[in-house]
Amino acid sequence: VIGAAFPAVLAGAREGGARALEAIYRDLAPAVLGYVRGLGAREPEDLTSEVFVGVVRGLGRFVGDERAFRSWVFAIAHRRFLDERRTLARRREKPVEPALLAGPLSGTAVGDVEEEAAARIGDAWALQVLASLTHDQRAVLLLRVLADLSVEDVAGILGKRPGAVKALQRRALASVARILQEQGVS
Amino acid sequence: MRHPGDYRDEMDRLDPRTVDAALEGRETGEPALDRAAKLVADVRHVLLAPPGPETLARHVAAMTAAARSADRGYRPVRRAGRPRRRGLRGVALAAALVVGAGVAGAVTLPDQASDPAEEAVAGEHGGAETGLEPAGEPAEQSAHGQEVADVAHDDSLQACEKGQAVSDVADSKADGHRNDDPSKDDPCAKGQGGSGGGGEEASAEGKTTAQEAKARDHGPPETPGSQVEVEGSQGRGGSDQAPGPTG
Repeated sequence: VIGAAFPAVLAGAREGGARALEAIYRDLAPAVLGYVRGLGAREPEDLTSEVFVGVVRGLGRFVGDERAFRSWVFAIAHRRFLDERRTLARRREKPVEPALLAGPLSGTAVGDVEEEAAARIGDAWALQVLASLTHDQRAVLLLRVLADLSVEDVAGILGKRPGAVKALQRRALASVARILQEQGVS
Repeated sequence: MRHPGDYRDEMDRLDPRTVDAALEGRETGEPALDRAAKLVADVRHVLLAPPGPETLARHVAAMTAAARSADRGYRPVRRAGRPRRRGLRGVALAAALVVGAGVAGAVTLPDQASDPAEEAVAGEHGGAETGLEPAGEPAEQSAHGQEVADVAHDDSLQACEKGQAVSDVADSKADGHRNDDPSKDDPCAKGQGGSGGGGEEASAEGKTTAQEAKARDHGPPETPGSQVEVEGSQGRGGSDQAPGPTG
């Protein structure tokens, strides 16, 4: 979160200032990249770049505070992901399962190889559980926990009512709990 | 075995604030919910890996370039490229069609069909490139007529002399085609030195001269046979040059 400096950063970004643009990117890129990865984007980094280029081009039209800005950026990310999914559907290509991304994602340097392997397996397993959810459940969970957006903001991005978003997140957690129970995770 | 719907029923009873707390990684007092929240926190940890330095530099450069192009009023690169390529393709296709049609027409059109076209072109642009008569011919004829008119309106000449002068000027273009001596029969000289019977003689000679002149100007009298022969030769020439296959 940029915080109190956000208006100045936004003004600098509107003028094309490299530092302001980088500040926005550093603040939001990890969550945007994680969001499109978690949804199963084929080229998450390229998609993230497209999202931020779209943000820059739309800065002149944006009105609002930092929270609204955050919501707006994720709305762009969600639309870009849907565009990519439609393109892949036309080409009859399947999107990448999030579980398959665990290897390259878990880049944390762990000294012990055994621990590192365990961490990778744990990450892969966590993403596999995520992949078992429906697309809407996954999107709601990711927007809530990665982007730190409110139920109302998520509803606006996904084009749903807040009540539907609440139901989706409850069911998503219920599904996760059921999977953990079935696999004997305590 | 417990039915999966049992969890749903159990979770549906949860207070929304409890769910929010679970999503924020706080303890809720519900073991199943806490375990689910723990896994969601793991997912968050895994997915929130920041982009590498190279990726960051590349993406920020793309953003800066987009900001510059937005300042100049450019459209996005992807969207701008397609119509331009389409436009270029359209121009190239139109040019290829025009050139192709022109070449095909030049190759396949028969000479008879191209002659009227040549005449039309010659009428507009002169015959220098088509092998027809130059466009200066009408202007030359006009100057010749003006010359004849000037002599005819010359008041210094009278009667037979004036007529002779007009005739000379009018015939000047045909001088190169005549073999006879123009001064051989001078009507003015005959009139000047003539008597009473000289008038009829001069009239008879004049008729003869007129018939000879007419014969010279129009050539030998035409016969039906010669006309048929000419038409027949033209017809054969036309059939030999039948139009070939088009395209």
